[in-house]
Amino acid sequence: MNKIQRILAVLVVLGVFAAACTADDTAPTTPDDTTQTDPGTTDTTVAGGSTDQTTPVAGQSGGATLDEVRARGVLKCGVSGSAVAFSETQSDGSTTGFDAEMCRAIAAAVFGDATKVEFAALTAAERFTALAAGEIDVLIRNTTWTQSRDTTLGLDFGPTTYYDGQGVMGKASDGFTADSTLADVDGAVLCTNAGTTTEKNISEGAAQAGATIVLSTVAEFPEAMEGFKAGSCDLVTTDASGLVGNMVTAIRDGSIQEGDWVVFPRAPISKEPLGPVYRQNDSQWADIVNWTVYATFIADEFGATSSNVDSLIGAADLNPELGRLFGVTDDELQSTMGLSADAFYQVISQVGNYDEIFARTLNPVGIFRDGSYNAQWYDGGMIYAPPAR
Amino acid sequence: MAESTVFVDNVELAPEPPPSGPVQWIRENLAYSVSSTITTIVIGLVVFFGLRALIAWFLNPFRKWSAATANARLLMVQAYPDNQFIRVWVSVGIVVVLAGLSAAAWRVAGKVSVGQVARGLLSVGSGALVLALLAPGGLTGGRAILGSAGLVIAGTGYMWKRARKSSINEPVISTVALAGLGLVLVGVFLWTVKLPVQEVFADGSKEVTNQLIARSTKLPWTVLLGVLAVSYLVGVAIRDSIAGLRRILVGLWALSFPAILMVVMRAPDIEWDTVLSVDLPIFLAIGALIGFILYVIGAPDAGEWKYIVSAIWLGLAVLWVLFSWYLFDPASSSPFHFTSPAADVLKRLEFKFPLILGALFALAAPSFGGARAARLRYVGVWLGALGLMIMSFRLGAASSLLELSGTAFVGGLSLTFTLAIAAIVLSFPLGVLLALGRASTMPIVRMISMTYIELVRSVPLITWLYIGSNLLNLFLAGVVDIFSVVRAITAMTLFSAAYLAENVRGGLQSIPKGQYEAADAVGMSVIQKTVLITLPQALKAVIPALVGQVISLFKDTSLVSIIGLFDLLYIARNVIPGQSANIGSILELTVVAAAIYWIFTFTFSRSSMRLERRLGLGTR
Repeated sequence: MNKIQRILAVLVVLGVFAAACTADDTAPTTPDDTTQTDPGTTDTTVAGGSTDQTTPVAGQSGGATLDEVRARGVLKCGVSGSAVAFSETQSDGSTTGFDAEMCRAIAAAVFGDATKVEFAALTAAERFTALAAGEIDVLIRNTTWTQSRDTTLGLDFGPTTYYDGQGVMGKASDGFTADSTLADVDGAVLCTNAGTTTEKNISEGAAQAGATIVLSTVAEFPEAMEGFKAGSCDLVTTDASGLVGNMVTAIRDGSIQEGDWVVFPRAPISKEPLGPVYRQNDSQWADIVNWTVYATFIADEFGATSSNVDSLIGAADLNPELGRLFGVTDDELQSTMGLSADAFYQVISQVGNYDEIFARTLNPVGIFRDGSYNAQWYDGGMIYAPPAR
Repeated sequence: MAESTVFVDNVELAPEPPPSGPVQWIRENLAYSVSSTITTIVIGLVVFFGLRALIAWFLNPFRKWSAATANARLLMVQAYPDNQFIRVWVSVGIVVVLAGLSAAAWRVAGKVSVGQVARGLLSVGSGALVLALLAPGGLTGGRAILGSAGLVIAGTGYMWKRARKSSINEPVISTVALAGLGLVLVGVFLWTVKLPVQEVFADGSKEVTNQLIARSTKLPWTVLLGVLAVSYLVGVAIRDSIAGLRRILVGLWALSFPAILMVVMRAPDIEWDTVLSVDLPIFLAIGALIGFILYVIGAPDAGEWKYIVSAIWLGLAVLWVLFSWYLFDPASSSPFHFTSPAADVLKRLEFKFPLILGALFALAAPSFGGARAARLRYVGVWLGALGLMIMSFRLGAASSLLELSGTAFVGGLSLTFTLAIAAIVLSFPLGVLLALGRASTMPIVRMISMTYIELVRSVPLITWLYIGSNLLNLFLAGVVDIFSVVRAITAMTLFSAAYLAENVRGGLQSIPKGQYEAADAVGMSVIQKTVLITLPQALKAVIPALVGQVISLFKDTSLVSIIGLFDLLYIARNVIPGQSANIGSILELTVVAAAIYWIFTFTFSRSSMRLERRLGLGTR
């Protein structure tokens, strides 16, 4: 009896394994239906989605992201959640800011509803992994477009939405003016946060200008600001947008007067073009993101705003380019991209054009377009969209 | 009476009582020599100006404390969706109910002498008074409130102390009454206190006003305070009538944590079709098969074969875990890509983990087996454990119904707690097993435990977090979408277990050899000896070290921001100062976060001191 039980037990253990192994080689059927990014399945679903696709993208596995987003019913947008004026997490948990508005614009283009967006707050270290792993559909996290990021990460960059650049902030009482250059910072204690390219840029820039600086690094930039206020740092450096934001807040608090602090030099120390990032080899999705951004540029160029867009499209003398962009005329191009014809009309009417977005999110922290790289091309800036035709 | 007066001259008089009073106290303690006087003055000045500067910093009108009060919600639960907030309250409610019942079941209520209470009031009140007096600037606003409150409290304490001195019997107060009074005070505080609230305008300017706490915050908290009181009273009522209430409560505590995390907070979208068509049949099949094996192995006869079979079983199962990603992952170069429905079922079910669990149960079966009833009970435990395991995998794999604005559904303090509790609770059994393994006489077990401990301890926690966040998904072959919180918990558990093992080993080594010999002499088995004799003594001996580890683990949770999780400290130092309304509030928020950490770690250390006193540690 006992022996039989033992043998039975051994057989059962072996049987369990055998079952586990032999059960596997039956005929192949449907692949796993989970949303895992699975190269095997992605390859087979070429340019799916909209049936009115007239120009399939040759050699590309386009459409995967748009289909996924449509099936999910909501756009997953990666943002920082802790970048002043670009993407802030408000006390009620909502996300606001320039980057967040761009996310809403893409949601408006895809769904016709700017609220269908889920923000994923990401740390700087995690952002590219999250995008590559498919946790988010698009990354708009004040991310600088660089050659290494573009070429080594399996990601592509969309049009630059904000031209930033590294600046230095000093005190007028120390003799700094907006026209100061890096040569003037000789002997100053300069604070910034460690482990960023900011640190490297300023050391290289100062060395080139022949100035010796004492670089003091802290963990987070706000700590450098505390040091600057307390006087332990003569200068602070980071992206100019961040410096201006801090300066305006201090003026508003009443802790300094207008003009006490100055940001210089006139030409930034480094180029920081910030824009959307998406996974590479999905042309359809890339087009959607790019042209949503361009649509806000073009609407700004032709003066279409969220408040006048409805009266504009009804008018007889509608600019033909806007007519195509808003899907009013038959030669519209949005359906070719897999979007509805009025996709960009929804963007402008729900989110607004580039100037509106900029004014709403960046003006309050003291950042203005006039005279900056972020003005339209005809105003001497670099905001330039290809024509919508 | 008359006689005593006669002999009074011959009676030796009692010695003069030693001089007392503040001057004498100062002379004895602070200025008993020239050098001590100088030291006292120097230290006094340092403390005086240090405190003064600190208070000045806190009371500076430029301090942006409103950044913390306006963002209390972000600090607690990050961006947990508004419309699902009831889930947060339910979670807190579960904890509160269990806490109330447990307080009753473990009879924490005691008596405290009035003198002690009065002394406490006196020191708190005079502390507040000193702070108010030290603060620079005029006697206005918060300072005046602090000072007068301190004066009132200290005065009450002092009068009470004086009154008590005159009475002969030391009167006592029940701690329950004090706790009740505390609850009422907190309730009153919630409804009356005004905290700074920000209003941010479109042009970026903001206005800070003091307002009452929002109803959506104070109402739930008030209800929870009531629930706490009621559940304590219920506990008192039922504690004598329900046998084994404590054991039931321990079980409920153990279940409450995963239930809160997986069900209440995460709001999983459970596919009942899959549960009924896949999970249930397989639960029954595996449960019955392995249950039968356990029943056989648990038979009360000696036999090496049982261990051999179980060990081979465990080995195969572990191998399978390590290599299943190779078999199942289409991206691997495996010659056989299993994509059949059966393989799919296996993947979904996490078949390999029930097998490992079964192997562990089989290894322990001879120790817990025996008579028919014991074996049946053991099989029952196995079925329960298997059911829980399958259920948790199903819940883990289910997608969440929440619309999140972060990568995880816990953030801020809720994440800090989730990580700390999970890591502490899970690392405890693992650490004890490792300690026993390292102290074991079996060479292979000892070697494995030692290698594990040394390997894990020699690498920083940050590294393990990185490894956990990247490798775990490989091992699990994308089967269950192991979300980042679980990865962090796993890494912290494995790390903490190694340290815990060394602490426990210290305790095991402190036990006199006589204890082992005595256990041997009465014929105890190895397991009985460990569970009944050595382990309880060892654990008791290392409570201070264990609490130290709990505290450090609690604080180490702040490291998870490097793998993209938003814990309390990250939100305080990055997210909130990133709001344009709150630029430049990083120092204030760091202080607030530090205060929150301090409240909990201080509570831990006080409770452990109470536990030590209760166990009579260091007194015998």
